[in-house]
Amino acid sequence: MMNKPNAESPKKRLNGGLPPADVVQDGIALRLRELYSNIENEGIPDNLLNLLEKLDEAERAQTGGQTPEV
Amino acid sequence: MADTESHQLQFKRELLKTLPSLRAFAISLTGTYDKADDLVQEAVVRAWSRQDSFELGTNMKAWLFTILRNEFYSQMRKRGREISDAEGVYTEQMSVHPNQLGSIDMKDFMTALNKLAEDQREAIVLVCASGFSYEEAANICGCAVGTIKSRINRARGRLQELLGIDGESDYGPEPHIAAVLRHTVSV
Repeated sequence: MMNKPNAESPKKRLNGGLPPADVVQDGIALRLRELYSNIENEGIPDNLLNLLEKLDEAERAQTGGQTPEV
Repeated sequence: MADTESHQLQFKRELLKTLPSLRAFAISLTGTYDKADDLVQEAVVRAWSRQDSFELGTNMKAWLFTILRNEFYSQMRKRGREISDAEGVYTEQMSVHPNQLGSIDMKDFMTALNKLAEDQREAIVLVCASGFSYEEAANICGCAVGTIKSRINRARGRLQELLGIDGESDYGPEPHIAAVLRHTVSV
């Protein structure tokens, strides 16, 4: 078990994490965090996933041989 | 070869993990979902082409945010300022997305956020929403830590002014927000 000071709960490993400990947790910060959690939870749009697949395929084709091109 | 493969695999995993928050940051920069998605795509292509230069174990998130931000500002310089601050579009688009929160003043909050100066919005988003430390935010923005802190303070002050709150007390953490946060985090 990791025991970092700001990792009270394993749930907090979410993308975006939580603000660092030295940031004031006022209502503004909370609202902002809430807003961004929402956006982050919308997931990754398909066009972006498609792009990643294409990049992946291109890479496979390229490194199918021996040395990866730089 | 195994090394290269595992580097690639890990790179991809980390990239994928970072995408939702990278996208959220892009939305705050561009003000619209469409432009944000374009920007994220460009940043991903760029990051991908530079993956050999990325050292695993270092901060992928900060690295990607820096690439995306640089991409955004270089496009702005090329195209002029039309990219940003399409007044209202940010909030309009966002409101289309049902936020399952039921917190009514979220829309007001977004409108206010949209009125902030760019550098202030960026600073407060990076630290308070994206979870970077002041130091990381300063690195991403290429400025001093003190500059980030003062931008955040100004952003806070301006938001309080725009939202008509005097201090923290009116707007402190409320139980339902905390519950929602716990809920969204566990999804």
